[in-house]
Parts: sequence; structure tokens; C-alpha cells
Amino acid sequence: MTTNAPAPSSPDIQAEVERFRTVFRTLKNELSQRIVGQGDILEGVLIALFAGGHVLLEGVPGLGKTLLVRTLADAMQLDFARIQFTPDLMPADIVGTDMIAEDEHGRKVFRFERGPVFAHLLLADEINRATPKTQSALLEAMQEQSVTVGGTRHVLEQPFLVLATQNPLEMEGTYPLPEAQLDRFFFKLRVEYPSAEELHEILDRTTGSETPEVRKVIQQTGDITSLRLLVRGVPVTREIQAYAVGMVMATHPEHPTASGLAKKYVRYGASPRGAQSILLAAKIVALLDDRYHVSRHDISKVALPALRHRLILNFEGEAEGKTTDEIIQALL
Amino acid sequence: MSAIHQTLRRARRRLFLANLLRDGVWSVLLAAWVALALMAVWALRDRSPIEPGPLFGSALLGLGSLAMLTFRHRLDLSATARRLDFFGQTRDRLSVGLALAGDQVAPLARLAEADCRKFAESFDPRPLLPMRIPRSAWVIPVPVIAAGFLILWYQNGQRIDPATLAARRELAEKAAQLEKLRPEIARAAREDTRLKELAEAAGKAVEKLRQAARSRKADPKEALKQLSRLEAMIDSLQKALAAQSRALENAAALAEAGDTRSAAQALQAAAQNPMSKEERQQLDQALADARAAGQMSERERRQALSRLAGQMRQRSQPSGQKGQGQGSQRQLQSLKNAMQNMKQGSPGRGGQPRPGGNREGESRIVQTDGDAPTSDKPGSGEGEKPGGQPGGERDAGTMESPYGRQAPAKDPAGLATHLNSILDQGESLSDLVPASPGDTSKSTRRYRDLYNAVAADAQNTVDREDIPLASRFFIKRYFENIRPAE
Repeated sequence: MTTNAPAPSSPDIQAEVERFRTVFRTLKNELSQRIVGQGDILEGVLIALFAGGHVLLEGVPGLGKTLLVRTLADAMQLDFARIQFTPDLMPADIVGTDMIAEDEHGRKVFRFERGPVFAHLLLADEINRATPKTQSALLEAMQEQSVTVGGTRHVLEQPFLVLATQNPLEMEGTYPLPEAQLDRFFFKLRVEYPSAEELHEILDRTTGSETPEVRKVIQQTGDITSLRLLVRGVPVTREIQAYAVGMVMATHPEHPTASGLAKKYVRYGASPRGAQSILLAAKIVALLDDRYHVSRHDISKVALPALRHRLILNFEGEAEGKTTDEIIQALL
Repeated sequence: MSAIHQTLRRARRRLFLANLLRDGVWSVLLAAWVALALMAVWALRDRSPIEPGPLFGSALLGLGSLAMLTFRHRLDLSATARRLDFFGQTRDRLSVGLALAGDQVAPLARLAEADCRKFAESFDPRPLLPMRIPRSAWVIPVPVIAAGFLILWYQNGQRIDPATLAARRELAEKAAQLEKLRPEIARAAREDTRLKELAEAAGKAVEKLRQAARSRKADPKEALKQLSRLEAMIDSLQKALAAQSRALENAAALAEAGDTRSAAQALQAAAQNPMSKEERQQLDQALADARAAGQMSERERRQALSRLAGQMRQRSQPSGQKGQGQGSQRQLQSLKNAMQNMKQGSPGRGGQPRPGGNREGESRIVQTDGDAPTSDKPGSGEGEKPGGQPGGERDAGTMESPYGRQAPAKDPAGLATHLNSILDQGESLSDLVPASPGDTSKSTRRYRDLYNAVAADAQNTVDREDIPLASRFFIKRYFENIRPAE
């Protein structure tokens, strides 16, 4: 068995677990007030929030990606910032810059003007429209939870969650995210088009006179931090962990346990961050399933969003139109 | 012991029984098919398919298979837990509970262990591990029924000719009788080297008799011929020994009469008969004594001739105990008597004659000794061959020619069937499919050199300003993929 973090100091751990479940379900309900359908997307975003990861949302425009992020910020009393990525966006537009200002004595000094990255929830809309240089400005923020400008390191306030969106259809004038950037996303979620029933519901809600209000579920940001610690205390036996490790290793074409599809179509397999994401997300899924331990089922459930952006197909795979989802499904 | 351990042990026992049932069915199936195959082989070799050999062997194979499968399917508690988790949709509660059983420090681990233990207490593995007979068991009657048919077929084949069956029984009895005589022949052969050949012939005769008794296809005539050869050998040996005895008697009389020359000639005639090495030495010695007697004084000569005559008489006497030739003759006579008893249907040496005389099978066997036809139907012989001789009265007319040969071909050389053609007229494949120079040729440059030659141009192309950055990514990836391996 592995214990990844010290246990919470709460005397009544069971009550703490119950509180986590209540908060999670309530948050999901509140999000559902505004977002119709997309249950898996809502759950994925909340899992990433409590696991401390970032989410890449991929979907065509108009599916409620931005609304989802804004609603999440409203429900949790968190600072929200939105950056619309464009080709002429510069890194300083994201992280901030040193500007010349006058101090109280009238002297000129450099003062750091914080960029939109200094928020709890950051919506990076259409992230693949900015140049790789600008995209890379988010690297340090996403991994280290800090930004360095002019030799000074500025720590971001917790919780910090980046929700990036990208459009899979429009490839003209876009820059595919580099592998290093992709690897830093906890989940990649595909936002599907709503069904006819869901579309009816969307129309009813959005074209009427009343707009649904969202209740504040979490009043203090510290609550999220404590719940994140609680999640990390969920036990995972060596056998279950081996299942997750085996799944990640099977995506590496040169590994002896690699699947046939991986050997044929994959250029690089998932990184260790993929295994970390799987295990952390599985812990949350286990708690939500009224259990205190991780099972193989939990790992299988989260493997697809945790690994699909971490596999790089080779030329043959791209030429034959294979997707990483197919390769991961074959492993499950 | 925790509740999880108890539950898992209970489940493991049930799993063991379920596996045993399944493996048992497979082993029975294996044994049944192997037994059927062996029985078929036995039956095809004209041996009874229900002999203990194939049945016992296949039963042993089935038991071995069961033991091996049981050993292979043995499970420890961890594997049992995994199996139950897999079938029972328990969300790995049993395997996790087994791993966490014990003193846990972390609070969530304690909660998890308690949750799994509670689950295990109420967990009933029986619905997951039903004790069902596998579907493959339905196949078991197939080899059993087939074996039944095989036995019926074999017995039916045995029942066709009761006379043959009786003859085979008789041959088996004779083989047993001859087998009883074999130790005596072997003992005699140890005493007299001339009987070694006789012992070998007796062994062959026993084997032939056994084969004839066992197999429907084996020819009983062959066995009886072997038996007759054995008898002839005994006869010739007897005659040779009698002639030797007579020559020795004659030589003794001549020696007593003082005719040493004639005695020596008689001894020489006796020495031409087959005899053992020791006998030959003794005769050579006697011959030398007879020739030496010519140079002795009258008194010494008379004494020596008298001694020589006494020795030769002793050797030629039928009741003499020391002479090996006499012992051999007696043994041969007893063997011959036994053989004649066997041929006449007597139960054995010195046995009582069978009441009721010879049976039908016996008379058949005695009559078929030799080359006489086996059938007693009139006109049998040539007519029993399929179709008879070509042109004969029994020719069924199955051949194309009354001479029994294939009719000669009308145009054996094919001279009348060759085709004429004119060169360079009409289409040919070379007109329709033009050959490409690259079809069979190979590149004169190595791929690595070729790649290095175009790599710089490729890089320049990618770096051109009019190509969108996003497309450059794909172009770069393409060239990376066609890069030769290091």
C-alpha cells in the first residue's frame, strides 16, 4: 500500500469524506443549473479541481465551455480571469510585466503589473491560436504554480486552475500545443454536441426571461486545499497501482507489454505525469463511489481523459486517421 | 483470522471443487478419446479392444492429466480474491481488504479496511462459483458409444467363422504345450550343441502358433509348417544318431574279431555323422588306438582291441548312461512323442487322450498342414482369384483387353496434334505491358545518403515565410518520420 500524503488532521475523517462528497455533488448540481447535459465534462472538471490539475477542453464553439468555467468560478467564490488567445498575444499579456511607475517620493521605479494569470480560475480560450512562445508562458504557472518576471518569482494564489479550450476543426492559423504543454494538463475533455433533448433544455433555459442563479458552495479557498489533502490520503494497494503503471507502460511502443496498436501507431507513450493523473483522479472517483479505496474500475474510468493527450502518434497513425482514444480503449 | 481471510478460504475451497469438476470432465474426455484410439488400434491389429492394456493406460493418462490440471489451477488467497473481484463486481474490495488486513495507521486506510471487512462478512461467493457440470461433459458419451460400437464390430468379426475361432483356440493350446517343452529342449541344448538349432526352431514355432491363435489375418498353415519343420529336424537328428550307433556296434564287432583295418573304416564312417565335439574327440582317439594296434605285440594288441570294443559297445548301447548320443536320442524321442501328441490333439506329454476324439478345428489344422488348398469346395483354386485368368472361363471381363493390358495410344508420338504458328504475328504480353526500368533495378544510392541530400532542401522549405507556422509542424514531423534510423 502507498500513502501519498500525510493524512488530514481532522479527528473525524469519515465526516470529512462525507463533506467532500457533499461539496462535490452540490457543485455538480450547481453547474448543472446552467450547463445542460455534459455530465462527464462537469465531473471531469471537478475531479481536476480537487486533484489540483488543469483541464484542456476540446470542442466546437458554442457548447458552453466558457459558461462552464464562469459558472464554476461563481459557485466557488473564486477569482476568475479569461484570456482570449490570438496570434499577436504576447507572454507579458498573460503573466504581467514590470512597468515604470513613480513611488511616493516621485522616483521612477519598476512595478510589477500582474497579468490575468493571477487568478484562481483562468480560462485560456482558444489556446491554440497563440504562438508557441506565448503558449509556453503558461508552462511555469501550470506546473510550478508561480511565474517569474524580470528575475522575480511570483507565487500564484491557491487554488489555481487553468481551463483551456481549443477548437478541433479550425486548423488554419492555429499552433498545435507542444507536447510539454499538453503533458501539463491533468485531463483533456472532449465536449460533445448536445442531444436533441438537451438542446431543447438549453433553449428553454437561455431564451426565457429567467436566468438560473448559482449558489455559492465553497466560501473559502482553504476548503478546497483541505479537500485536496483528504483526497491524496485515499489508500491504493500495490496491485491496483501496478494496474495503472501497466496501463501507462503499455502505451510505450518499445516496451514489451505494449499493445499491438501502440506498437504500430504510437511514437511516444504517456509520461509519468499520466500515471500520476490516473491515480489521483481514481482516488476521487473512489470517494465519490462511496468507497475508501481505489479499484481497477476507477482507473479504467479515468484513463481515457488522463492519457489521450499524452500519446503522440507516429506518421503512420496520423496518415491512417487513428486516434489516441482508440489506442487507449484497446488497453482497457 | 479476519473475516476476509475466512471468506476467501471458503471461496477457495469452492473454487477448488469447481475447478476439480471441470478438470475432471476434461480428463475423463481425454482418457476416453485416448482409450478409444488405442482400442481402435488394438482392434485393427486383430487383438481384443477390451484388453486391460489400453484401458489401464488411458485411465492412467486421465489421472495424470487431472493431477496436472489441479496443480496448475491451484490458487492462493490473493488470486482467489482477484478472481472473485473480477466475477463479482466487488470493486476490488476483497483483494484490497486482503492487502490492507492488519494494523493500518492512516485513517483512510483504516476506513477502507473496515469497509472491505464489512463487505466480506456479508459476501456469499456461492452464486459466483456455481458447481455446474461443464458443457463439455455432454461429449463424454460420444467416445463411450463409439467404443461400444467398436467392441461390437470386433466381436461381430470374430463371430463370422466359428471353425476359425476353434482353430485359434487349438493353436493357442498347442503354443502353450510347446512352451512347456521349451525348457526341456533348452536343457538338452546345453548338454548337446547339436540341439541348439532345434531350440531356436522351437522358439519360432511357439511364436508362430501364438500369432496364429491371436490374429485373424495370420496364416495358421505357417504355424503348422513351422511345427512340421521342427518335427523333421527331430527325425533327421534321430536317424543320424541311430546310424552312428550302428557304425559303432559294427566297429566293436570288427575290433573283437581282430580286423583292425575294417574297425578303423567303420569308426571313420561313424565319425561322418553329426556329433558333439566331445564325441568327435573320443572317436578320433579310438581311431588312433585302432591304427596303433597294428604295431603292438599280439597280446597287447588283443587287450587293446578288447578295450576298444568294450568302449564302443558302451557308447552304442541304447541303455548306456554315460553316452551323450544316447541321452540326446532319448530326449529327441520324448520330444518327438510330445510333438506327435500335439499334432494329434493330445493334451501334452503323458497326458490322457481327449474324450470324443478330434474336433472340427483340429481336423482342419492337420489337413491344412502343407500346400493343400484350404477350401473343400469343388472346383476351388483358380476360380478363387478375382476375375480368374484373362480369357479363362472365370474371367469377369473387367479388363479393357482380353490380354490384360492397356490398349495402345492412337497417336503416341503426338505427331498429328502439333500446332502451326507464324513468328511476329498477333499480340504478345510485351506489347501490352511495357516494362519499367524501375521494375527490376535497384537504387544505386543508399537511403541515408539520399535523405542527407534532400534534408537541407527540406529544411529550407520549412523555413520559408509563406508557409503557416502550424503547417510547418506537420511538415517537420513528416521529415522526422522518414529520417533514417541512427
